[in-house]
Amino acid sequence: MTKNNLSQSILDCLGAGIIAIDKETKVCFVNSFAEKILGWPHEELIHQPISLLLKDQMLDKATLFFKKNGESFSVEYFRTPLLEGTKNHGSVLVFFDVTERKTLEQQKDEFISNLSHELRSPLTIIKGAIWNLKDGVMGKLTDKQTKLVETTSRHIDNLSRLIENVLEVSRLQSGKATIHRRRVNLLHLIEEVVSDYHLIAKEKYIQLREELPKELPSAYVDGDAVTQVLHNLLNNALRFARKKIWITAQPSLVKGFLQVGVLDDGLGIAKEDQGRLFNKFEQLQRPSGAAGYKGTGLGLSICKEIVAHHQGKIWVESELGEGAQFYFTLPQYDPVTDLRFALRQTMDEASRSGTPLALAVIALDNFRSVKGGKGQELETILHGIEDEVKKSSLRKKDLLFRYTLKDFVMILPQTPAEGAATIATRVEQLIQERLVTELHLVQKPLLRVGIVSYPNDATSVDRLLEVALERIKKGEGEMV
Amino acid sequence: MSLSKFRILVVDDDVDLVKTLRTRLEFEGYETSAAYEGVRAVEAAHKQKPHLILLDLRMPAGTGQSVLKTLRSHPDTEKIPIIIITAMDDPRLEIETKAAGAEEFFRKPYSIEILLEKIRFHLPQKP
Repeated sequence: MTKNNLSQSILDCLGAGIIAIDKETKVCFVNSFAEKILGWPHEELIHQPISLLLKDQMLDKATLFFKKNGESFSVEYFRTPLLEGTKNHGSVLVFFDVTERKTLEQQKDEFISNLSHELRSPLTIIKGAIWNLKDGVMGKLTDKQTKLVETTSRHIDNLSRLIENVLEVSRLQSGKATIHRRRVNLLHLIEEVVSDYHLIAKEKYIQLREELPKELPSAYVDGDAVTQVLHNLLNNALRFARKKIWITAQPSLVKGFLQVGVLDDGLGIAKEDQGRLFNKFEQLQRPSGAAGYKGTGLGLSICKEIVAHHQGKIWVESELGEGAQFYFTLPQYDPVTDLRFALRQTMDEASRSGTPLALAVIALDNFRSVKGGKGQELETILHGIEDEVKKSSLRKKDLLFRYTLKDFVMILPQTPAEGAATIATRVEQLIQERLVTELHLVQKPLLRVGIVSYPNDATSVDRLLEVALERIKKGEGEMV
Repeated sequence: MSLSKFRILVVDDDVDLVKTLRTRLEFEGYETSAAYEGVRAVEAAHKQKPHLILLDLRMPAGTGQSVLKTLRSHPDTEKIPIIIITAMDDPRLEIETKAAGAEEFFRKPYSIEILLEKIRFHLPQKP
């Protein structure tokens, strides 16, 4: 067998489709497996544009391939450049038919959704009936009866929690849960969650201490999801602590992240058990006699999923007998990343709906001298303006961004077409008025506006911002 | 003012759930009636003119969504406060039903205390 023949045979034996395309995205090679699942004979596909298989989808975003007979199938593939030395000849697509897996995933999701319905309905009735008993709807209960009803009620609550947790985990794992990230003051969030626990801690003679810094950079997280992580960790800590629980927060050693800790002085967790702690339904030995609240074995795996959705990490540091220290990291708020991400999303939306998008970039020319010693007040005023504009003139879907970049304050309202100019003018007025009246500025703030539109001026986030800045610098934007 | 004059229509295909809920509501002083499917719910709403409706979504013969839509589009029933109670999981349901005119959205198993509070809140001043 020659080397070429051998290569050809190997490609044909593979259980994956392989298609090579040239620089004009025309097909120049198809292996047997691809021929078979696409239903296109080799000779008919060669020299055809790859769009034949994709219909209206973009090459790098396609999730379906179309067969010769018009049927489609779910596909997953990766594309690598076809290089000969340093010369680029096009690219190679290696693809797999994942229809079966997608169908199974869908069935699983439907099953869980049905199951949740089937579990919640009877639970509602049981709960309703028990509450009727408990609240004396069916007449006054004896002490013994009351006790029995209360025990039942407690276990029903545990069951409810278990069901909700199972659903939560499967939602998080299937990617169905949506994480809405925002700029969040983590210190406030921690204080709010912890305040719920002071009373319970007191009843258990446990000292609950917050060891928080005075200031911490904002986090970029889904506040509700992080609240849940804290609840889960605090609930655990309360079950295991002997006398003390500490809550800590600080910038993480990993750049761009913040680290939160929930520490207890309980029995601790042996090294060999720490690895499986975050798995589903793992429960390590509970302290004996700790009846009442029993965990569902899902709390930590929910924490792990939520933290992972934020690209953070969660771990435990512990020695047997020395208490347990749970830590997790969350991304720090970065205005530039946030802005880029949000802009990208709105641009995608605009492109899908076919509506153009206008962007007004406002720069405060003499930011530094205006700021002077009044940095904090300036911040507050700009925040206020942001809120005001968000509440009033912007439609629900419009966005307003502000970030400080070197000497600039940039404000970027987004609204279809001509609206941007109107909003820009309004924001300028607000800034002028409030800075002068509230900061008693001697120097007048110098504002400039650059308005750009997508897709006319540019189609990428970077380029769009560049054009806006160029317009500001060139003085095309009107000087106020 | 006597509470017993407020009429609440409970709509759910689960007979036991309806029974438990009605027992509780009657204990709280409300007058109650029931419907077990969508079409009957619309009929009952027109005939009995309840002051408030508790409405399940997944039912035979007309979903809760269609009941909601029908009631909201008729002048006789458009103003009756409607509280959705469902065991369905889809997070979009709350937004959809509220956009269609439902006052409140409860997921089973709900807290009876909060439900009673919301009922009191949405009932008119006088029966």
